[in-house]
Amino acid sequence: MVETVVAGNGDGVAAAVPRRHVWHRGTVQILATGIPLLLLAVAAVAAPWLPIPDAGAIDLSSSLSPPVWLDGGSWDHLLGTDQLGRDLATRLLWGARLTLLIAFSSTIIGAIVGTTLGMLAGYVRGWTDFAISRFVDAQLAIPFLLLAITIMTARGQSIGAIVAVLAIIGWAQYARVIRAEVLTLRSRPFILGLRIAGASPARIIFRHVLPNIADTLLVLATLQIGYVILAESALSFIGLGVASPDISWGAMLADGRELMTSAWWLVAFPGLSITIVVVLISLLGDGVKARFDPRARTR
Amino acid sequence: MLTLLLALTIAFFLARAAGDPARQVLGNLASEQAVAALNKQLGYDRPLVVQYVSFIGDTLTGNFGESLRYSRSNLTLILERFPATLQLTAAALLIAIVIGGLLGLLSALRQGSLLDRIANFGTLVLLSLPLFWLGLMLAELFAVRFQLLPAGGHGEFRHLILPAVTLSGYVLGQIARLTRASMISVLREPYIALARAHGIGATRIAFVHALRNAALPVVTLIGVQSGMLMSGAVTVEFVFAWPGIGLLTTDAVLARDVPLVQALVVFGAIMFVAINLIVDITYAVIDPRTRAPRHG
Amino acid sequence: MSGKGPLLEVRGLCVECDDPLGKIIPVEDLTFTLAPGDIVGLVGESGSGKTTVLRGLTGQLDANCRVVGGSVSFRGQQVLTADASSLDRIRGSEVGVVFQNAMTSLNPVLKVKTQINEVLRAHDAVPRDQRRAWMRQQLVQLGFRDPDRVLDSYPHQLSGGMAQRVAIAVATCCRPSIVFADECTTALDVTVQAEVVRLMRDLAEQKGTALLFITHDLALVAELCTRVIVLYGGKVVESGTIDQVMQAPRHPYTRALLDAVPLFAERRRLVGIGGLPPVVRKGFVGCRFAERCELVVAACRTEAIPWTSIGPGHGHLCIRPLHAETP
Repeated sequence: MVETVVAGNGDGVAAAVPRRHVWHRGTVQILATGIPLLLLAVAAVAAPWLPIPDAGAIDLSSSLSPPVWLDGGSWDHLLGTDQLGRDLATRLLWGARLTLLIAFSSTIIGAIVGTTLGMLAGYVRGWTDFAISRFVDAQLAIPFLLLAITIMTARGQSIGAIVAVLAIIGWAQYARVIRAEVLTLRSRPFILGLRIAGASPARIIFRHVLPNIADTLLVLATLQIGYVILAESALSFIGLGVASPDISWGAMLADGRELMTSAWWLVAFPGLSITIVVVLISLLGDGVKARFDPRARTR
Repeated sequence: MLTLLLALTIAFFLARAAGDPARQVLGNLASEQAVAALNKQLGYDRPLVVQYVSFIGDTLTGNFGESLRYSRSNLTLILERFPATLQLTAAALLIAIVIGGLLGLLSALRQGSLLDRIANFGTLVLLSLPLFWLGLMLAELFAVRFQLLPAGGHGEFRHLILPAVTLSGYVLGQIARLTRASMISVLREPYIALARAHGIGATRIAFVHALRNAALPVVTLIGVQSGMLMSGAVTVEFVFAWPGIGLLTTDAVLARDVPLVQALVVFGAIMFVAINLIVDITYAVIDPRTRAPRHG
Repeated sequence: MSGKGPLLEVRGLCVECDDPLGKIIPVEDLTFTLAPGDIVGLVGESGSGKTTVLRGLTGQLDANCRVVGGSVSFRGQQVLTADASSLDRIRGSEVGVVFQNAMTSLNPVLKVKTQINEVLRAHDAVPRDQRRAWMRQQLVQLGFRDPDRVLDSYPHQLSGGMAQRVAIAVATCCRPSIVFADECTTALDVTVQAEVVRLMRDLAEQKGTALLFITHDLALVAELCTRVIVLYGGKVVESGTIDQVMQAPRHPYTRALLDAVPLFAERRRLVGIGGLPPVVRKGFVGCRFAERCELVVAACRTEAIPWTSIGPGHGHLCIRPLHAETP
């Protein structure tokens, strides 16, 4: 019976119990969702060089042909064509390019601006905090689409404007969350020790605070990408976002809308693409959170 | 209040953000004179500070300016369309609360079950899809294919169904998830364990003892999500040609009617603040801890 | 012991919990009885398993724990194998429970009258039109001077002591024959504690309610209880009447506990017991107290320790007891 005697004082010394290899929580989820997304991103970037039909190739003879599995479909055009005979699958890929580009850039800009302001507000406190927080509240009080509309109407449409608009919409979320994080971090002993020791605020913020909020930031940013994709598609749909000849999934929905009854695939697939990508991103975000966020570790 | 003021300020500056409102309206081919004349007419040639002050002043006195396109008071235009949007939003919120709440409740009571997992995935999808796309697909399915419901228009109850269901999507997902999490958390509380220990039945505990506690965060959520509802209303009204504020917004946008757009944003901000106020009051009503003082 | 026969008989209760590093045994071989009017103190420090005992008895073990041995019978009826609805009938009407922190054991959004009413309603103990009067009377007996106002109050409006008395009202509103009290005085200040202790004693003496008082406070047990069970590492290490155990403790742990509590007039260094109680996993051999015992010998760690019975309800679990002679 000797080998089953286990140390009795609860320190977890379990010499006799075999240890299963424990994956970090969430790693599986990250891989399962991240890899398809990565493949998509790579394919989108590589689109110009891939052996697929040209996105702008107009071929009126095969206008409005359905996906391959329906009557009238052909393997030349897997998912069908639009009214100008342009291949839908290719356009989806090109749409991914722009959609993802916009999503990433605006998320990064928004994250940088929001995090900086959030850290400032949370760390420096006082009037800075007050001003920034009121600003954040004010911006969050305006429904995002209305905000976007205002800017776009005054500004006009260009990819840069769209990115700017989405960044402006997004930064407030970062600021709010990061500020809260920094506030709790600020009173932790190790930060207090640094302040007493005379380290400069800038140094403390960038070298000590930032690494500790990095995981929250990562989770937030991942989820924000999804929201931005949805926001961009809404904007493009009402005609305020990406406009021809540029392709984004939202714009494709706007184009396809009129023809929906006769060519449902023009609406179904772009929308489905958006949904699937955002679902994958949300799951990725959950996985990242499970893997990295120390507060979520319950085991 | 300060928040509102700041929100207005933001709206103001963004509208002026760059570019010339008059040029936006008239387009690139218009002559300089025409642009200047319009600017003068609209007051955009005054110094920025003056514009700002008069903007705030006007807003506070209810003057939201005049639409370029319709040449009528913006406020009147907005208020005309408001009831329709209110109807739509209220219906959507009702659907979201009832179905979302029920779904969340059942998921919490049957954690880990098939229902729970389906609900979990379903709400995830609801939170991920573009609302207007859902609207389009629903319209296609129910209106065109099955001829069950009208695809657009306004007037009878049946016109309300598809738009309301569509609009409820996102908030429904949020409410379902939060209700579930909140309910699970409440069910772990000592007072629930005590009630069980004294033999009170599980169903009664869920609905009478737990639900009211679990509902508190959801009420707050609704306040926060009202912004999303308003944004959603814009696209949903666009899809279903529902004559509300959302449609007004898209029309104004396409016509580059800057004053109207600005007025709409102001209105939106005011609405958001007002809704959150109502939410705070509701919260106080439901949670006795916020109102009754201590004694004894 | 007064009354007809035991109300509650617990024999050899064993609880097992799952754990990634191996199964944990928080309670093993627990045996005791409760008769009407008994006031039994279950004493143990944190980690001794006393909370698990309560959960096991009321059927509220965590999802990863289960009863793996022994029996619990209430008035001769087996409890562990009973179905949910018969259990629900007993709970509240025959067995009342009072938790440690009254503020968290009362529902914050329901008024006091509603909370007591819920229990009354579940067991149909009192006709609806008489309930208010019943509740008032209960509160008066518990020392409230303004019962109507308390009935219409919310828990957060009450002080800690008042809340605890309300919790007692909830537990006793159907006149149960047994009350389990889990550390119910720990969160209170001393004067209020005294109140609650008095109330508990009245319950036992005047109404014949059997009390199981779970606590780590030995002084309290000495004051209130008629019998005591000392729990360590999930096992009963000593039991007997208050006089038997307090005046002539046999088990080294009991002795150490008594030493740790200075009497009011004493001035001496506080004597603690070094170390922590063990986490007992399946396959644990020997005495649980061995790591911290001053009288330990090799045999304590390697042999199964038998129960030494000195008299009815009086015994200990040590192979080198103090006062080795018979009482």
